[in-house]
Amino acid sequence: MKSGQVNSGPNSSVSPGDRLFTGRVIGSIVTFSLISSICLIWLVTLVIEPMVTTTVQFTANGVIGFGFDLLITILILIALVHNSLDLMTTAAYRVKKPKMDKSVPKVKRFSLNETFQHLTLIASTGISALTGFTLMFYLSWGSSVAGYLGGLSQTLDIHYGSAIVMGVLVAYHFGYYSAKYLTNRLLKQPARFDINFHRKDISDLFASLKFYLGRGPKPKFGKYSYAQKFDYWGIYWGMVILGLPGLLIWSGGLNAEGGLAFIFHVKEALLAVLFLGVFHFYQVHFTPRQFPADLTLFTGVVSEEEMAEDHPLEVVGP
Amino acid sequence: MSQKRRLILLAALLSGLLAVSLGAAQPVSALTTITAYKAQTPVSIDGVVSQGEWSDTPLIAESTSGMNVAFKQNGTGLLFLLEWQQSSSYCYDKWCFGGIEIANSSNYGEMGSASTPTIMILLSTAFQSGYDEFISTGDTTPASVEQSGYATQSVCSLVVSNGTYTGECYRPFHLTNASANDPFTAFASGTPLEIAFAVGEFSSPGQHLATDMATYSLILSNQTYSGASSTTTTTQSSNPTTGVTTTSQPSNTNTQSGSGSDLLAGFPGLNLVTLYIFAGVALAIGILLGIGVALRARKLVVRK
Repeated sequence: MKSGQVNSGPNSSVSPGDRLFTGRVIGSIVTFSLISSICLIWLVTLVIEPMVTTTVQFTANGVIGFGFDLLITILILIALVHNSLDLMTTAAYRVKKPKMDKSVPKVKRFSLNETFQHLTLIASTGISALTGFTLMFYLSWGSSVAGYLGGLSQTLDIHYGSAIVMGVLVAYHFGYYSAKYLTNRLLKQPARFDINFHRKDISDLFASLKFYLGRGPKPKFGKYSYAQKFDYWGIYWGMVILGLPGLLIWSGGLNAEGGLAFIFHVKEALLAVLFLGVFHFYQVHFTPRQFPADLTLFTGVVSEEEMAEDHPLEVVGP
Repeated sequence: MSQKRRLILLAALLSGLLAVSLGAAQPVSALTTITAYKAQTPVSIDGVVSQGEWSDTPLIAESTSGMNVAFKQNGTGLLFLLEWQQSSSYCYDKWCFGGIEIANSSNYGEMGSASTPTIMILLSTAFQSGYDEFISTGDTTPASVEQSGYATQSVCSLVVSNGTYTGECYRPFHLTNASANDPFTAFASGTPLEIAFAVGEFSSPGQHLATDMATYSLILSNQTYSGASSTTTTTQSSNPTTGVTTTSQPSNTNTQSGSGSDLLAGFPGLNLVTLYIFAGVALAIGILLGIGVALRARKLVVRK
């Protein structure tokens, strides 16, 4: 690249002399490519191919199964395109990784309670996904994993155990924030649900797309960007859609395995894993800005500079 | 290292890997055909291979499951022989099983699905009669045909001697009180069946060796077997001394994976072909992103 002046952009303490393909950018590209290709193969083999090669049966199960497949396909492809554009733009602007050493002033972003919730979420989701897919693909690769876990029934028990933990977490999570919100309102204190979607999120999405295509400035976000909200609701709402049919299957209801509850459970599980792979991991960890990891949810703090850059409206107000 | 050199090195690396991937990728093989020839000698269903009882059909050493199998038809039904060895890792006690899975739909993976069920005929000393039939709809635990309100169609006999399991079965073409999804309803008219083989442990189901439905098909023939000649579609070699025919392993199979398009039955990614596809897709995405980053960065530069 010839030297010249770089347009100001996000985190634009850059100069034309800065390298474009740094280790962080290459790491981000490689990681994103690997995860995306795994997800794409899953998507094509497990969702798209059966969807296009199987005649839709006009029964409740058939139509819902087809609808779910279509939803998975659309969401994952949109997430892939969105994050590809984000990666190209973030890398092209040569954004710096936020400094987090002792010299940098920090602001609190997440409480210990939230950190604990996230750790529980990681553990229960990871174990549920591992045991769930082990059971789903039991007679192919799953059987080997089940062998390590102590056999089929033990794998199922572990799956149930992690599902209970996840269910308690979801109940606690929504209960806690709802109670907090209502209490604040009753006490006439500021009550905010920052994570809720607002009309601005839609305009932020389009503004971001414009920015990615070089046709506009980077939009300014509040405490959570539209992508973070999408990420959050995708995971937590997904757990509800996953968990309720899971409970039904466990109790043998709604036609149990092969029935409507099973379709919801299995398809949502697939969507959740693909979504985590394609969207969450990139947005949080593998973006060139944060690669290889963003530990904010564990440390609970971010630098003032990062906060001002990524969430300016939270710092200065709308 | 300068920016330009880095770019060139990266492009060369990615191109090389892509070329290797594409060059090594092979098309997925078609189903390997197993032929059930017209029987010339009768079979006594007693779990004992008597002299000449199975010499009128090829004995196939199925390498994935480790079973020796033979098929023939006597005009009224299918006769088959399954032989496998005890193993300390996947067949070591009374819960050891061996058997076949059959279907007439494109299942590709294993254990069928709700819309395309498969029939499993399993032999084990764990069963009171030594065998049982199951309808599999994708569940991890298939239901016995009786549980589903149907009757077992096969007649089998299993004998274990010195660590060798020998099962002989007869399954009539004319079915009585059978599931409508039983593939034999179409099989009698000459349509090939998809067939898979498995040996494993009921007590530890993770330990098993199995092929998937994308590997073999079984066809009926009115011809008699002429010894060394073979009508199978893929490589087979006969040992004139032992009479054992070895069937080559298609590239799209391995011991425990399916190539499955069926959500519940198979899983993509655990064989060589899918690995190449994965590498190719990853490289393509990586290259496109790399080019995208470079082009985007170029646009941001306002040249003096």
